Amino acid sequence: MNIQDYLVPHHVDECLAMLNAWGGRGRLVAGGTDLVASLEYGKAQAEALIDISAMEDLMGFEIQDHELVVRAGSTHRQVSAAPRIRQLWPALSKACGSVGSPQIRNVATLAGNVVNAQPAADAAVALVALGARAEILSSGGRRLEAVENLYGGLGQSRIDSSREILVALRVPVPDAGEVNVYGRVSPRNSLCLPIVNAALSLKTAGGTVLSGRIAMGPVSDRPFRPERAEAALQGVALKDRAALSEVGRIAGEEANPRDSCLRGCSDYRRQLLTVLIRTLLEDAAAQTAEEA
Amino acid sequence: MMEEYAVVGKAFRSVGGSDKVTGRAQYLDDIELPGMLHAKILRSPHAHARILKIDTSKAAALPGVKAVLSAVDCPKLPFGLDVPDARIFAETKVRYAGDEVAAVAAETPKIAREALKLIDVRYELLPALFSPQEALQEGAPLVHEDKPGNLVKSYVIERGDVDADFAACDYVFEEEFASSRVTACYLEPFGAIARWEPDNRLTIWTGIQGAFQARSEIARALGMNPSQITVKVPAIGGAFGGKIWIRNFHPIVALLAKEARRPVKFVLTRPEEFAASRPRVPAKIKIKLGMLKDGTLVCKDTAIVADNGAYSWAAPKIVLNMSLRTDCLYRFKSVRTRSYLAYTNTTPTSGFRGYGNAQSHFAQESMIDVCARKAGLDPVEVRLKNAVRQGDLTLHGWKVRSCGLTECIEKARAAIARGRKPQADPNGTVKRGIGLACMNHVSGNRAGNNFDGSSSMVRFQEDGKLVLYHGESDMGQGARTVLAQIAAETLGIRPEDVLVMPIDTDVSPFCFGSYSSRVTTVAGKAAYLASLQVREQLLKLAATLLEAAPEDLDVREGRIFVRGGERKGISVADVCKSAIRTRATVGLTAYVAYDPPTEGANEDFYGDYSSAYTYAAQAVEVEVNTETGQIRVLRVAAAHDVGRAINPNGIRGQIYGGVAQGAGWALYENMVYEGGRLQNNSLRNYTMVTATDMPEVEPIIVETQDPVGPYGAKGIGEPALIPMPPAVANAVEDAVGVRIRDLPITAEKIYFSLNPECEGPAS
Ligand SMILES: Cc1cc2nc3c(=O)[nH]c(=O)nc-3n(C[C@H](O)[C@H](O)[C@H](O)COP(=O)(O)OP(=O)(O)OC[C@H]3O[C@@H](n4cnc5c(N)ncnc54)[C@H](O)[C@@H]3O)c2cc1C
Repeated sequence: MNIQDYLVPHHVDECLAMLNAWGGRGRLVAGGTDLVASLEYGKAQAEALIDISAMEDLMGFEIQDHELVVRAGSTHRQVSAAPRIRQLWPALSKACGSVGSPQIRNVATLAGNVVNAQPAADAAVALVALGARAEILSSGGRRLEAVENLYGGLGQSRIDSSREILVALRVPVPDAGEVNVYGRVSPRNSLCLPIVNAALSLKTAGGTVLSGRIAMGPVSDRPFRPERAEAALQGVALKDRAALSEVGRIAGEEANPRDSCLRGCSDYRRQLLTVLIRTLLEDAAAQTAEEA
Repeated sequence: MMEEYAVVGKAFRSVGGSDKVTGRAQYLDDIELPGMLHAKILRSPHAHARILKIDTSKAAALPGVKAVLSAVDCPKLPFGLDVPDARIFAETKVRYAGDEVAAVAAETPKIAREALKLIDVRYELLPALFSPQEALQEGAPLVHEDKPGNLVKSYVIERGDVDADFAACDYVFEEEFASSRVTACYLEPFGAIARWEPDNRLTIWTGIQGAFQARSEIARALGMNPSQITVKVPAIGGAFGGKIWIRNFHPIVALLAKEARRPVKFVLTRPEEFAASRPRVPAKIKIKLGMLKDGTLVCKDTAIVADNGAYSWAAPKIVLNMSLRTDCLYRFKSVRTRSYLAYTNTTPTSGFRGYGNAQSHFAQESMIDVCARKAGLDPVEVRLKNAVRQGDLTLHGWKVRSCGLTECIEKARAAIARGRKPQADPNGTVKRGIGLACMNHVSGNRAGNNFDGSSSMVRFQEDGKLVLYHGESDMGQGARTVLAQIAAETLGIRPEDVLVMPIDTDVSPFCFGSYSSRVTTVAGKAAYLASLQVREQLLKLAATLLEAAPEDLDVREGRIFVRGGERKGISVADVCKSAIRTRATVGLTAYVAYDPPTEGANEDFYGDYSSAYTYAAQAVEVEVNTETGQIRVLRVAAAHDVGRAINPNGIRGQIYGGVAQGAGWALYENMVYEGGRLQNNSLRNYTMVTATDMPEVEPIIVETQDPVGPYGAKGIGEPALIPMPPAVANAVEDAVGVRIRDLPITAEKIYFSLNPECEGPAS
């Protein structure tokens, strides 16, 4: 770690100016829960850290034009504790609520979770299933990208944190009949990365799935969408347990988890995904039944 | 009815507790000495390799570096325990990934770390041994050239005629069990500070469990006399057996400090703690057990193969415990054990809460359930039928002076039965079960004819406050609290008025240290006896002041009075002032070296070797998801025979902690190696229990009033962990009908056992 400066900008323009001044040798830091460890272990380099946590214009979240706008300074704790988010985006709420421990959730951000680009990052998996987009600012201007398109390989984000700022995550407001769910399997309850995790977002009408998005991890180099399982979802009656199991089975088949001496062998993790997807579909069925 | 006491058995604030929670306690890393340097150690990245060359010149030239050492610069005196095979640094070859190769002392930790990178070591890789089974094979490469067959130690222990007894049994069952490699993972990393004093004496600050053992071992490694060395023990942030013995870094810091002529601090990093500390001795234990139709346990034949790692520390003694102790839990007629301890190219294994007894309990207590189920009997009834009882002389010669095993079993069974959840959920994927396991342990452990006691010195001050000197470390288990309570009870003063001194080998009386769950029992007894002597001095002087006979006097809450005539009295403080400030010249001081009335085991390991034996039964309720194999421990009822509870809160604390540590081992703790390198060397991926994973725990204190221990007390430190793994294994079988024989009992193993048609991971 060879950090020469630690900067605390107060608004986005100032932040961009600092990034430019360091010409690619500076780097954004939010909660620091990933970055500090990466710097310590030599997995990331930076000569200046630019701390985004004091920027007023990156704080908070709100619903705007049929979108939830989660600005980059928002922590897992803030998002998981918000009643409105819990109601409309239970998948996101639950995913954020299962990150690490209270201490981690109090400082770690959703934006950092996305940019760190791990395949099973809890919030990122939920955001991919929810079809969230990222609003990215650089000296070249502003752009919007689907979160799922931000991945460039294991741990590689297409967002360059030495030149660009992820200013907000934009999540569409669910329409009537849309439900979303999230779940994970881990050996213990806190401070534990998932062996597998998954989020689903389904459009339903009259107890039947019209279409659905599934994201799961860690089974690929990024949050993974099982195409065949998503296709199989179409037209499934949520009451039909056998059909739900079948979707779970297909998703498990499509996944390609690694054999891991710590997280379990591939076959076992595939089985966990099969069960997890089916259980999540059952949860979704219960949710739609409640709403009906 | 047991006698009621003023202080013993009462809730009392833990000594030093508020300093810890307010951050005032001084741990090793809080100590800063003027001019102090920081040390780092270069460790072998290879499990087994010949050292071709070590070039430290570039490191030595780095600005800020004040000393660089490797084997060539150090005394080559072997140190260690039963089999002293350790050297300060690896000399001709490295024997495990983590072996000490060189060390640096520099102005800052960062410079020291940079300097390590400049040390050039050339290795020639050698074939490495990762399991004792491989190591014991004919023609296996040797870990130590002078240790043929890689055998560290073997034992054959036989009582009665096992073969004849098997022939007469209705059932004979045989099973093999295995325990995993786990680390004590205390909160505070281990370390030391060394400073040379003007008269060529050496001071070492280190948070160690046995200060006097450390002093003699450091002296041995450095070729000094123990009395040239002072060991001072600051506050300790957990130890669990992992800090009983010295590590190589102790002589290393001393030599770095000598070379640099400045004090040197060394603290292990967490990855070093994982890779180079002293994990629990992993063992494969095969048991053949003979029983009668009515559930009588008759005989047992056990074969143990255990992993010593690359250098021998406490593993020989641990394997001895593993080979003996569970034999004395039930009334076996005959037993035979053959044990082998082998060198491997892995981290040296050593003591960790249970000291071998936890491994053998996992095997035996799992075995009892397996056998009882096969014979169609209730495993708990089988235990009750065979449990040792007070007054027994066990087949290894233990005299069971107090024993609440039966009561523990009955109470744990009743407690777990209360409020049980349904055995299966309506959708059928969640199943629940209960399991129970017992345990016996020691409170002290006499090695041969050695001292197995403790010493204590108590001294009144002129203001009536008492100072208590002792040598048994408080690593968080509450030794200081218990000692203060015992002294206060005996002297009739308030525990707040007892100052329990920190350990300094120049001042503290000689003691062996905090292990074998012995401190309350033997150090407590020494403190009790010393307090009694001072009480006599106190009352004798008070008698002259009160013009009464000493035998008519009593002392309570700091006041001495004539029995019956309670109004006529004098405060302890006034008597102390008279003793010290006047020409009465009464010392009000006593030094007692106490040794318990046990004979110790003979060469055949027969004999009564512990002041007291402790007993427990823990029952657990678990929940298993049959689709994923996931397990949750829901509840634990932990009944422990502690003789007499001196500090009930302390006992509950030990039980909660033991349950947590035991459950972690049962469910997921496991050091996983690939090619000799540890894969989970951080808290990120070494999975232990967190607060949110804790089951509901019901501690049940069973009091049997031991005739030897102070106020009837026995130990509790290690026992609370020991029954957890087998209790969980037994509950899992009760819930879903599968028996997991190797720790940890992971969800994955349960899944593959429930789905035998699926192919599990190659193990
Ligand atoms: C003990 C522990 C437990 C954990 N458990 C979990 C878990 O269970 N599940 C899980 O998913 N994660 C877990 N994590 C990982 C981590 O907490 C999350 O990934 C977190 O969300 C990262 O956010 P942060 O604000 O700390 O990011 P930082 O560490 O500050 O940054 C991460 C990366 O994002 C970049 N960055 C940050 N903000 C921006 C921005 N606005 N624009 C552009 N780039 C940016 C940084 O430069 C860096 O590359 C855990 C971490 C720890 C230390």
